[in-house]
Amino acid sequence: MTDDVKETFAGDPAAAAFAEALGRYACAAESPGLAERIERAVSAAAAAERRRAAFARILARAGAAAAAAAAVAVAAFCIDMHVGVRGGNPPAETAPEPVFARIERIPSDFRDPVAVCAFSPDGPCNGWNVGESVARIIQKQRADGGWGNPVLSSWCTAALAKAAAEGFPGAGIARMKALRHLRMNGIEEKRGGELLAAAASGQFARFGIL
Amino acid sequence: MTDPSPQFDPAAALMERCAREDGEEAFSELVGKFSAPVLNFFVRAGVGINDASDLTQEVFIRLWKRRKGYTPGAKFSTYLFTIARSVRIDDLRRKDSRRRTEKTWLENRDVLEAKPERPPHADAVRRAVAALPEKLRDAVELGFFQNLPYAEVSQILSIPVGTVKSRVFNAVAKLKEMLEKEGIRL
Repeated sequence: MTDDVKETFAGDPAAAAFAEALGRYACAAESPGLAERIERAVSAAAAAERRRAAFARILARAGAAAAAAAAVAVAAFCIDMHVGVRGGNPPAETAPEPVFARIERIPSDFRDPVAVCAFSPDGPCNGWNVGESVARIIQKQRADGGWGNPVLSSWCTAALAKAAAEGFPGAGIARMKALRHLRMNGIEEKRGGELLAAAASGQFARFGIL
Repeated sequence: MTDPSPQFDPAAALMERCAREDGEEAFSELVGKFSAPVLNFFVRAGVGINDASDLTQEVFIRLWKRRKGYTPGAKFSTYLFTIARSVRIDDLRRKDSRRRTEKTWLENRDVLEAKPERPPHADAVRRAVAALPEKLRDAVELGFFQNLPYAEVSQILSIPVGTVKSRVFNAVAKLKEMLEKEGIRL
């Protein structure tokens, strides 16, 4: 009993005696193995926290890379315009390739969902960084002003579902938005398996993607 | 009244270590020391033993997530029971408390029967505490059963210290009355 409690019942001996007896019931209930269960849960939370922190670092790096790419694109456009004005109309074959294609050759918007889904070691996109891929999907969708491209969204949902299951922040919410958009447009969600099959058989080309 | 601030609080030192070094070992010590009081905090509020275990786990996970927000020098128990109280309020909002309470007593009685060293009439005491009005129950739970100084209870419940004292007194008097009505003398 604390001094405060003793003081509370100092003027009433009967109540003080009852309080003394009542004090035995402070920890009457117990749950065997509870402390161990809590420790396991906290360890899991700590591990998830570390994963999220690592992902946040990747996101930050991806953000910096995107900013740098944008700066390069603007610079390339300005130089191109400048040369064009000085030299008259340039021949079509010397027109610069889009910056994106020059850098990667394959539009990453469509490559990334496949990379995310291809977690297995023998997947078609083995070795790609899942965290970076998810970051790019989300960034791209945001840059498009939401889930404006239904075809892209239908592929991304499968990727985002996997990413959400892996605990990547933002993936679950992004997927919900994509699904809402697909429902509104009467478009089916693509499944992970379909995504892999599409990647393997080159179906992306049919959409004019590759 | 006891002033909680100037005394050395070993639990606070452990919590500070958790916040500073992300130390899971220090946190384990806190879990070992405080899981039973938190569990009883929920059980006495009328939560079934299984749900109480889940809520206790939730308290410690929240505590871990909020370790960086712990103010060095603050009393650890104040921080812990403030979280426990908010977990209980969230739980009440989530569930239909009346429906849950119906099966709670059966569930808890089984657990108590299985514990040979239990004090007599533990079930009746728990039922009586859970039947107290919430304001009295919170005060007696923290200021009496959890042995927190009234100054800390006043911080957790945001009420004056004098009010804590009168609520503890009234709650204990009411418990005595309820138990005596059932013919129980502790």
